[in-house]
Amino acid sequence: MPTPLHGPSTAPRGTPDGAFQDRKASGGHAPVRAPLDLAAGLLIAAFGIGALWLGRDWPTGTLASVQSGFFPRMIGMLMVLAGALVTGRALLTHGAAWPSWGWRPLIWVTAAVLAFAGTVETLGLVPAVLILVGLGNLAGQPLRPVPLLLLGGALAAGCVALFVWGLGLPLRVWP
Amino acid sequence: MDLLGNLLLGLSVSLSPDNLLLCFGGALIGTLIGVLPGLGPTATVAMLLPLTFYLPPVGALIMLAGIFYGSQYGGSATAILVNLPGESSSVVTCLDGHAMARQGRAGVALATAALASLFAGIVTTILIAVAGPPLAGVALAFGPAEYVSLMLLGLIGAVTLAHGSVVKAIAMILLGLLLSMVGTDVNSGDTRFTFGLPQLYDGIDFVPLAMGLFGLAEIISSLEQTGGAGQTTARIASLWPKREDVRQAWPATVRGTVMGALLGILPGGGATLGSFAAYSLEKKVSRHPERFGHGAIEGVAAPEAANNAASQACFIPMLSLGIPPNAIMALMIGAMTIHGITPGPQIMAKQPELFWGMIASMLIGNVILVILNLPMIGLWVRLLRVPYGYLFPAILVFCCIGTYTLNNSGFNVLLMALFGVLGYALRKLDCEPAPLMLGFVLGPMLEENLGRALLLSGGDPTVFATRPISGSLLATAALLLILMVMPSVRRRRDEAFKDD
Repeated sequence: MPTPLHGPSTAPRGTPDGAFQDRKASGGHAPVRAPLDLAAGLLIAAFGIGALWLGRDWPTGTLASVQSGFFPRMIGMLMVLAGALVTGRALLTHGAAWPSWGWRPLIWVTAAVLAFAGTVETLGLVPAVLILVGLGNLAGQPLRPVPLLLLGGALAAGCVALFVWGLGLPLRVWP
Repeated sequence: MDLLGNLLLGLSVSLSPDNLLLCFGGALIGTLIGVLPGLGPTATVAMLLPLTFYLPPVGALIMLAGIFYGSQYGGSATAILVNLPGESSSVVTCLDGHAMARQGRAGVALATAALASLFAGIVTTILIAVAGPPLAGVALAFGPAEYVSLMLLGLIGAVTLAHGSVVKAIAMILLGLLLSMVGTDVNSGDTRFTFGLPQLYDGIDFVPLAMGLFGLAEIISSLEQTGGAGQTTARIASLWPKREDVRQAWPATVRGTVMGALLGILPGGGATLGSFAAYSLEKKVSRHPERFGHGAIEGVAAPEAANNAASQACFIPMLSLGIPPNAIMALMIGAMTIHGITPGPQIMAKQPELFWGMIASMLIGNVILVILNLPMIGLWVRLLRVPYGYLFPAILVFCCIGTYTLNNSGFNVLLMALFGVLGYALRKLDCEPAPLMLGFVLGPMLEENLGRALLLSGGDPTVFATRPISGSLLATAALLLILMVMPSVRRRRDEAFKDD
């Protein structure tokens, strides 16, 4: 980052993604010296706090006979510590800028996989594969309808051949 | 000689027609997937794990090992042909390998990579056969306290020798340990972190975690970078190195092999460190260091030998101590557990045909890889030209079905999607998912041995420091951590991972 950073910025701390991007592009300064590390530190600490909170009632036992709550609490505390270290360093030193996120592949790949998870048991393998390929296709540069249909058909047929006929797995094929 | 007898036993296992076919199939499929840009060995092994569920244990491990070195080799092909490293250990291969490809010597670079890997693979396999049994003998004397310290040393070693922030890497290990606790606690029967979901009572399955963190997250990252277009690949004229090339490449191969094997045994060492170190060593010993980066054949031979040597040397701690030094070995341990095999010192005594069969199959696999790859380079080139838009839906389908058929549960696919998002977010936040995998695999073992060591000592936590072996392991771990915090060492470590 070229410009020196100082004190608490008066700039609004808006949405993390777009705001940092714009500021970086216009050459202005970001409100945090290492936004990426700050987010990482907070995420790590959040996992630790979550673990401690979920395990708040579990018995820890004594050192001579540790119970089920001992290890989770130990790891949870270490995570909070690690998160605090990363966060603290992010506030004191310069670090990497906020990255750009590939929202499109992230959303569509996840949606496609979730759709498969939801449909494979109820609708069967062939429809689930077709839905997976159809939604997944939106994650990159979409294929034209004809190649897309051919690809989906080939994959569905290949899966049935390999997993149902070849390996003999008890899978539902059609709705 | 005992070693010879053992190797013969291993050869008789791995040369059986079934196992030979599995070894061949593993190397072929591994290369096929490994060639695809953006899918490194870890993702490849994670994705292909379900293929091996229906095999007998020995065959499954032979096939997985084949997949592993096949994908390692496939990654080098991508690095040379399109200048895209499949994973961090082939980053340095890009430098001179792709420079050679631009000079029309892609075939020579690929052949050099294959032959250097073959040499390194054979040498390291023999090293595993020699070093494994004594190490396992030492490990048999280990009590719970020693195991805890050894695991800590392994985990600390893994984070200090990897690149990136040490604290973040430790945090990722801790996250892996947390995830490993999900489910029913074996000692008390209490359920932990299950959110009341009965599907989580048996814990998180290893496959959706690995596929999500590595497979899905890598697909998303590749799509973000390429948008789904195909790659333009370098042309291949001649495959065979000239006499001058061989003269330059072979000493580099030997140096790379030694470097890689040494660094591979260290916890956390692995292929990346090996290839980077070998490359900088070559640059130092060369009389013409200015040639590097402009197509020096030593710059391909040394790192390729080193990453193959290192990735096979990783099997030593995995097989003899049951401690995975990196994420891929963690995957292998996961696969063994699925087949009901507990990795560790007992394997060699109780299941010699498994241990030696796997080792002998590495010898054979390395040979198969060269025979397979040199004539098929043209095919890999064509595969690289297939637009990613056609490839990634196929990979997605494979990931989904593989996870689903684990126990016919859509819940595992859902988990995989969640871990895909987590893996992508962690990558964006500069947190490597590999230490997470290590923590996840070692978690149950660590918790169990920690509890047992404390029980045996009557609740005295100093037991870890006062028992001699345990104490020296811990001291080594502490030393590593202290070294890492020292600024001068840190700077040198950062330099070692710079790619020029």
